[in-house]
Amino acid sequence: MAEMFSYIGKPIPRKDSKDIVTGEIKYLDDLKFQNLLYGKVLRSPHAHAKIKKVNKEKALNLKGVKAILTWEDIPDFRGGTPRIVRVLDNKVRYVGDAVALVAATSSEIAEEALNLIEVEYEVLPAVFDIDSALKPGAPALYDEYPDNILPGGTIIYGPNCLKGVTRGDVEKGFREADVITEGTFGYENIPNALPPETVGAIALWEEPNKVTLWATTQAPYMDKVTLFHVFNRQLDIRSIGVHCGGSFGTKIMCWQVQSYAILLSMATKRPVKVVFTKEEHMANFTLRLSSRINAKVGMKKDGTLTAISGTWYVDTGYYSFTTQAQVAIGSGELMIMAQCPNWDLKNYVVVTNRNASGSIRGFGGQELKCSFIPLLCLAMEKAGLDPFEVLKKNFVKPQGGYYWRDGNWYNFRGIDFSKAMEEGAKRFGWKEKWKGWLKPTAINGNKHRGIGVGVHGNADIGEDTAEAYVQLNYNKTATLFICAVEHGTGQKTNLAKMVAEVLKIHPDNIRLTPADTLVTPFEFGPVGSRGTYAIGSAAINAAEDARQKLLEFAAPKLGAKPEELDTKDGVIFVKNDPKKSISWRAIGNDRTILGFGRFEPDYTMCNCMMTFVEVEVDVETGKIDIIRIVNTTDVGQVIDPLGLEGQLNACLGSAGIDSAIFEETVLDKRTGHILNANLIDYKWRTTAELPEIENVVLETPFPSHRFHAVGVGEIATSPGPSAILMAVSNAIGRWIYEYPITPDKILKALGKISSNKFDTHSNEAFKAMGR
Amino acid sequence: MNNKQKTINLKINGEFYEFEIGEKDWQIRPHHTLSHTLREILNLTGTKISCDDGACGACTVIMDGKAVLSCLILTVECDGKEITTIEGLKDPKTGELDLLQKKFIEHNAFQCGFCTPGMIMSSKALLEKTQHPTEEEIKEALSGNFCRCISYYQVIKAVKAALNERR
Amino acid sequence: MKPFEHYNAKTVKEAVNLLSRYKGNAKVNAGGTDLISAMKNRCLKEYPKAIVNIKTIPNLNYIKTKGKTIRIGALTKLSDIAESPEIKKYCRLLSDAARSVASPNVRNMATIAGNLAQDVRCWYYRYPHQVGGTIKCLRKGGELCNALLGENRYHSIFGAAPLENYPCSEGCPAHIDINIYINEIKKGNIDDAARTLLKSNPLPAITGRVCPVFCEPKCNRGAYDEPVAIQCIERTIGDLILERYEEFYQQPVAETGKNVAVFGSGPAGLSAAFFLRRYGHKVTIFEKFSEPGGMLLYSIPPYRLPKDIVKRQIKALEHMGILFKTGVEIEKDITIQELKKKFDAIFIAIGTWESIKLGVPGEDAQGVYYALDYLKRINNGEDVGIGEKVVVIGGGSVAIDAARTAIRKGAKDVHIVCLESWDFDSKDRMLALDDEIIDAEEEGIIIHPNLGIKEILKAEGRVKGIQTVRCLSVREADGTFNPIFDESGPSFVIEAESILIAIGQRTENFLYSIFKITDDPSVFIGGDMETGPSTVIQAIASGKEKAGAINRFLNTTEFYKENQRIQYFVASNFNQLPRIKIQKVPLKERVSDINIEEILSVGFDDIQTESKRCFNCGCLATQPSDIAVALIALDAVIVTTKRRIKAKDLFKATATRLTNLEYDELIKDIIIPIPPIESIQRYEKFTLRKPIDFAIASVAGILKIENGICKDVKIVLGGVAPEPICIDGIKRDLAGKKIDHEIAEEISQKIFKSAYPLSQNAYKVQIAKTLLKRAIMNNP
Repeated sequence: MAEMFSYIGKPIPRKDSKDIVTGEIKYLDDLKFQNLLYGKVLRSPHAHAKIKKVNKEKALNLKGVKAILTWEDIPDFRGGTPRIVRVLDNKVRYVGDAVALVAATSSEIAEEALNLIEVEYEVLPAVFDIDSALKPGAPALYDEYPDNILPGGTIIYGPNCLKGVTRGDVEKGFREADVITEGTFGYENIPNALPPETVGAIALWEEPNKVTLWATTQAPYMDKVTLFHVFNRQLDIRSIGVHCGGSFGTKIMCWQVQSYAILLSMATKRPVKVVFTKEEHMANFTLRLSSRINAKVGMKKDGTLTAISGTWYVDTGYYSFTTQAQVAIGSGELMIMAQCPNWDLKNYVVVTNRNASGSIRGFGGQELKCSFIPLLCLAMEKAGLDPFEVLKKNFVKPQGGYYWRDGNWYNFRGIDFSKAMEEGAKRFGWKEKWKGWLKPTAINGNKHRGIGVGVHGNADIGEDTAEAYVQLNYNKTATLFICAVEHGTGQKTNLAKMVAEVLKIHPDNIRLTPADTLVTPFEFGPVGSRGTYAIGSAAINAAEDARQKLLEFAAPKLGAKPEELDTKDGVIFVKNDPKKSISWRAIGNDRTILGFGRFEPDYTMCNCMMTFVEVEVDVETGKIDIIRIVNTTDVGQVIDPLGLEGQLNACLGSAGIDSAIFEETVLDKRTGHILNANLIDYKWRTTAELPEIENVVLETPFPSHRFHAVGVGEIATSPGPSAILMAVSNAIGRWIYEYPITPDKILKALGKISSNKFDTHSNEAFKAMGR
Repeated sequence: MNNKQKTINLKINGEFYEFEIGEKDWQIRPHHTLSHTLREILNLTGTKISCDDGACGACTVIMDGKAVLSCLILTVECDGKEITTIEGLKDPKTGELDLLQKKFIEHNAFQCGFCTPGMIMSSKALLEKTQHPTEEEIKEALSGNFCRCISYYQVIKAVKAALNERR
Repeated sequence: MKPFEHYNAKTVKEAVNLLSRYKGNAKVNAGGTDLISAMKNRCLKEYPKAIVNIKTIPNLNYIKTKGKTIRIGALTKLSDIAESPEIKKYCRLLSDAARSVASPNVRNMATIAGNLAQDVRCWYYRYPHQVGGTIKCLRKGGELCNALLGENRYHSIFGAAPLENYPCSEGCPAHIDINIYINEIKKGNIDDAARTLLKSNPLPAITGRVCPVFCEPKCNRGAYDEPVAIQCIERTIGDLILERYEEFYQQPVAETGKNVAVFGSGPAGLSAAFFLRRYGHKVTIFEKFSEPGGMLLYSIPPYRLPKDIVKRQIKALEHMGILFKTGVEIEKDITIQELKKKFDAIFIAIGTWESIKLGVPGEDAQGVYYALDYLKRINNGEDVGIGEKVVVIGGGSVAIDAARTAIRKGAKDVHIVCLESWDFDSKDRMLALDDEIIDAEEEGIIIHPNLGIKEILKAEGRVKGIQTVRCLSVREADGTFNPIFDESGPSFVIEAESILIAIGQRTENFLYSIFKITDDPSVFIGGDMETGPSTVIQAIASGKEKAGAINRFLNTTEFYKENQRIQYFVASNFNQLPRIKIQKVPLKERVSDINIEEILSVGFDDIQTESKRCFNCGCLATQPSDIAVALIALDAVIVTTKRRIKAKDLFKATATRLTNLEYDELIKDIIIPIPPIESIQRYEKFTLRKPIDFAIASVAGILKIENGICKDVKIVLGGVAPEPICIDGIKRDLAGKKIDHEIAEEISQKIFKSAYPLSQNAYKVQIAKTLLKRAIMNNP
């Protein structure tokens, strides 16, 4: 069982909690600046067009307008993967693409100026989905990639970045299979994580090449790195993280809005704030990847997988920032949940004329799994197997392994998650409820119930590097220097708890510096559930280093060797003779003790989340109610029980489970407009319809760091959608493959929509009109 | 006929304010929303703007005893109104937090915290209005306050705990 | 938000005064949730100049029970209605409806009147300006409802809200109500279609044959596959009308006792006479030729417009009581002064019968004819010998008619020479229609474009041919006729036995004196005489317009009322149905006899199929008000500043407005008769999630059931159409019947038979059906 800790695992209020409940905490838009200008973006009404002429004269004459920038006014700054996306270009590639930037003394004036800019476009044909983008002769978004396929791999994952999975002999694998299923399955509803705070940045330019940036971000240090490259490696950026109103992985992609603020500040020499409206957030900022597989799976009668082959098509919208990274991680994650000796899984990253997809909770793995598990379901149905058993059996076990993002093979050295899975199944009552494939668990009039299960795991818990300093002060406090912003997980408090646990002082006595790249060392950002293990390790290591230095400092004073000493509550004492002690005050106010900690990536362990769902479907209206959710996981050691519960309940949020029910971005494939860029037409769950959630959390110590914990926050959203698909299919007795399962899909599957004699057209036909 | 008002009187968090209506930077313009005035003129940035469209509830304040959305109210409409924002909940003298605020902390009833002020204001209005709301009534009353982190479960626990303690 | 003026109204009167002062440029803020959001997103067609806040008006916030009614003040908040014990007790369905609106905090702000008057929730209409420009939809001056061809999952399943102006009808000079009569045909109501058509076009059998078709190029279907074959449909209906003329061309219901003279029996005169007669005036038509019909009879050749059709048309008009006097020439046989003594008003539309001269040497040669005279003589049954080699000069319809007539009369070698270009896109394009040119070429006529005439060559006083000159440009950029010739360029000769000149015509010179008397208020001039040579439909439009002017001059009560253009809930069809193929008589046969009509009529089945291709252009957004549905079910009366109106009559949607409230009209009060206490009240709203969402479908119902037998029932559907649908016939179908699953199923089948879902919203039919059945059965 878990060790006894003073702070770890205890429900200690978050350090920022008082400021949160009183409204005192400052998010980006709450910051006040003298002389501030407001930036706005003029956006393209066309999905694909060349900008022939821009006339900004009228707008410049508007009182209060301080700068207007178009592609002609700025150097060739580029971002994206590959780096082909200009900050402002002479071509627009989706409805909403940036055409011009305005800075003015108020946001109303800036908005008015946008309406006065005259732009002449040469409209080009556009592609809005994978099929049309890959059609021979399709219009190309980028001259560099005439076939609309972006190259695989991303520089930050190294030269051998995982670009697909090839292993063993798939031919042989399929020969050994008892059942083989194949088909095309997708998760193409491009939902939006939609943190409540929109995205934005404030920049203050300082000659000749310095800029200070405040931004909505979960990874301020990486923003510095990204922007360094965007601005042709000539910019000295100080990036300051601000309390973040939700990110869910998306706010690591803010380089464009940050560039806008920087460019406008450069042009005006004044601080400039660019904050997107919610409408812009929804129509002009990152969506989930659109994922589709055309694949084949082979399985033995006992559920052993023998071969997986196929192609994964990823529609990234008009550009990629993290998509190739998501493909690498997603592929590895599929290997974690589907241990199989023979693989041949290719992929294509396709660009289309819609808003970009990219980083978001579940990072590629959720997308791929939501596409893959329905295919696996058909195999399990064919073999007459219980999906819980098959998913449990095929999840990576000690002695198993997988390729990870750098292309290397990793032998798994984590724990066996079967115990957690069994416990979850027990609490859910899986065995009693499971009636077989396409069989409802209960029918009450027109209400049919069904159950489903999904699983996800991620070896990102130890990804990338992190660094921290811990400074010990004579007043019995410690300062943690780390480039971490709070984005909702409670990570800053958790890091303080870890340092507190090492130093044996109360977390209240640990202060954290702001996330300011001028002050802190490098930290990659809390992505992939790495906060607990990777970032935590840097803090722990720094605390341990500081502690060691403290003890070394105190040793001569106490006439003992450092290893004979310990410290608690700001007092250093001899372990065998606690009365022999000195206070931290001995450090003196003319000295600090500084420890340094660093974490090097470790991909040998993963986390795991299994989600069981029970749904009720009204077979006359197609309405789905989620009745119950049981999430089960093993985290090694709970750091923050209340925070963890919140993270797991979040399976219902941020483009998670509800992307199977009603969350989607509606793209008008006739014109490329996103039609539901508002919180009425974009469906997001509220308190009015909350299912029962039970979170089963086991604590089997991991060989991670001294607290044996791993993070799970990121993956809470991921197993749910495919589980819902399974549950709904079982409830209504028909396969449903498409996300989200809106009533029309249920009613169609049940044959309750009479084919409409007056209307058989498909969108395809109209698309062909090009109107 | 001159129906255009020249000043607007408001009582906000117990303080009286008189604003002039006009075109100057420091004056209230007809198109300024209440949330804009609170945030930009009075620096009460606890009231958040998220959707700015009347759907999400992040900008909820209490006006004459009712929870309303400050993003869809023009300041010029509010003459004579009494308004409470999140900043007005704690005791102005002692600084002691409102019971609901304490319970939100205790139950960790937030993650990113952006929706929290609105969530607390709606909860506050409910508790002022109803003596013994049921769980269903709590859920109903909060259904216009969107939380994307899904802290709903912990929020409901916190509101129930505040109710219990009040009894 | 962009700045605007703002007023806090203290009284209803003040608010109304402000609104009328701004003449529609001010918006009312009665809760504001909908309006402010639309203004932020700049999605309104016009940004309001002013906001009149009416929430500051006292005493409009109340719920009062008074005898057998409940009265609700216009500014009562939805939250108060949802929670009101009286409303819960007596009008449960209204409190349920109020609670279903948006979210609790919105309901704390929104008022009942605001909800009733709220704007549509269509994602095209509300597309936020800031994220990629405004989407132009029908509500904002666009030409097509985007939901017709785009994502339409939340849109109407019962048809479209009508436009103020339909593109087809707008294109037509006579503004024929094309969409309305086509929709009648869709439904199989051929007679109704005929009546509708006749209301705006008195000569449909004729325009069905010889109209240049201004409507079809405007048809929205053209962007999808091909325009609806409107003319083809019109012709079949026109023929039906003529066949049964006694039924359709009836005497007016009452006589005004006024007497109008119409001079000229061409399309303008006939049209004016028709409308004047319908107004109840006595009408006499004077015609100088021996038979009435004007250009219809004497210029348009019979292979395009059979004489028989024109004659029957005249007969039909005679049946209305219009008198025809032929052989009477104006100013010669009777002067206007004389006419004025006998008639209360005079309409002159004697057309343009004088041909314009070419003005080149040789024009006096034997064998030179003017095309109009030639046609007139042929159409009069004369034999005009023009030989085998004929050159027609001119690029308009008369030239083509003359050339094709010549072919039919035995000419073997017919050339058309014209200044204009032959390219369809050129600014100097020939004035003849594309089809005319194609037909002419098919029949072997050789067209020589871009050619002028230097001289008519003659030998011994007879035509020998023409000497041509290249024409470089005909019109200036602004359309002014100013031909430029390449005088030094090559010139060649076309030999001919006769020349037919068709370069335009005008009103005979001596008649110009008539124009001088147009100051006389009782004398009206119209048709080609006024406009210069134009088309049959333009002449009809002119006649119609002048008839209206004459009627106003005569200052009589209108016995005949113009058709109300509101049109509801008709099928639209988005199938890729091919446009009907027009059948023509084979070439050889048709050129053999001038009296063979070249285009064949099609049958009723065919035009019904074709009419289903009509998109029924209209706005497909649904009525967003939950309260509207409830109030209609409750039989409420709305009291406004101008009238008392039944709730069901308040919502008469058009593509630009959802209610028929005027811009300076405010709702003050709502009166609800309390339903019998024992009645069952239901309000059900289907949404994807509970708060915030607008209804995908909703139902409000009141049922009275005794011992399982339905005694009374009222059901209203919401979210499925541009206005709430009150199911009128349901009482007839259900009263006295035992309520069970079968009857509920039967009723819902019947009601939704007339639903015509779009590409993505067929599911709404099933959902609305289920809600309806559950309401009837009173099931959860």
